[in-house]
Amino acid sequence: MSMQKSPTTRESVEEDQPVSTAMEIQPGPHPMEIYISYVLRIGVLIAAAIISIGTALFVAGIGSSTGNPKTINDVLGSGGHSIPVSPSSIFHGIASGNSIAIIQLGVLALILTPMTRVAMTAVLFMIQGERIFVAITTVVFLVLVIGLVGVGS
Amino acid sequence: MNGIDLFIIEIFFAAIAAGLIGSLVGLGGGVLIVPLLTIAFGLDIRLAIGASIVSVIATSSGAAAAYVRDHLTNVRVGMTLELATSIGAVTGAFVAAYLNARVLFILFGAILILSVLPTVKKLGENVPTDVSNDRISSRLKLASTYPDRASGGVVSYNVTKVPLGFGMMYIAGVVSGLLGIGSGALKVLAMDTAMRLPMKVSSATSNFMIGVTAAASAGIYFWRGDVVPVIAAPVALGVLVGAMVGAKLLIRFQNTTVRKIFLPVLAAVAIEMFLRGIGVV
Repeated sequence: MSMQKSPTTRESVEEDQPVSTAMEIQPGPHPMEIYISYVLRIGVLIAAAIISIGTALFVAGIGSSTGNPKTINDVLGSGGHSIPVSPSSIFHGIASGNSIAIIQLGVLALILTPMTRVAMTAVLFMIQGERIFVAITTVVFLVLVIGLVGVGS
Repeated sequence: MNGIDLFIIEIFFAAIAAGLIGSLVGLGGGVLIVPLLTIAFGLDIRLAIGASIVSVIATSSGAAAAYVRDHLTNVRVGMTLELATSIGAVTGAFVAAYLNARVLFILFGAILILSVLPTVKKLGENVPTDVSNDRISSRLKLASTYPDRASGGVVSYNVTKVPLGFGMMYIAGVVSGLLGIGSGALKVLAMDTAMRLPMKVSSATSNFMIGVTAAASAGIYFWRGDVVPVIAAPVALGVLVGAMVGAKLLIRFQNTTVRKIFLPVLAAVAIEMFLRGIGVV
């Protein structure tokens, strides 16, 4: 601990004011935390809004319903695999105002939220010249990309 | 309003309740979603897992945003360990496709019991002293500080046994990808017992990592067709509402009393899942 340049006791740190200017001595990446916080919050809000809109349209029966499940059995009968999911099916669905496709877009927005956070963290580490962390963060991002393009599908 | 609309509305309200209980016991809003959808709604466990993993991203990201802003999260520790959890999650989601539904029920029951156990006896409330940074920790400058509301100052802490923590995190990632949960209990266990981080930092950093871990496997479930929109949408929205209400309530109520009420419920749910797996129920 003595070998660290860690900020041991800075009693003056005001936790209620995150955008404090007295942070230059603090080696902790403080502005980074603010950005991360915003990205997560806004990402979830956007995703939840899109999913809400899609769900409301579905329940209200508005928009095109091509391929949409009509009964519970449509959902359960085939084990739920009745609606094939692909980037083009989502794209065409949204273009024709399909409520299910809108929900799927919202789910994608949700998956993209942590990914955006990781990408942004990589950039911020790059600005700070933290090479090891740029490498770590980049690998995490690549793993997420592999997950998103779907290894198992 | 027809049957399927009613189904969506029922799931929405049930997910609010599940999210509320999950966050009140401190295991995260998503932990009860799979039991809810399989036991109460009779859905296929794979679809339950698909819906659950999506809701986990939603609830954890909201909580993570608050912790990060409050400087409780150790971003460097989180990023390092996300390497292990994300690779583990991809592994888990990949393997899940080849496992029998019964095996998933048994695993879920077992993991839920294991998650409940540490919360009965709250471990490591105090900040560990006598911890020295290991080689990796020094190299990556993982030691940090967090604000202590009681004294108004900051508490500094060291980080040790990074390789062990990393290994445990890989397992936590596999469990998350396999069962569609955040596996926050396992993450906290790794940071608390192996790496000796203060409890507050462990919880906050665990939350920070859950979103990335869940996102790593969610894409696989999504394209596989296991994230069924009419199930996943009310689940995600319901859990989000439930967890938000839960977080507000936790500030007002004593954490321990709430736990005493709901822990038996969770234990019963875990046993039920386990029995379904071995074919008794």
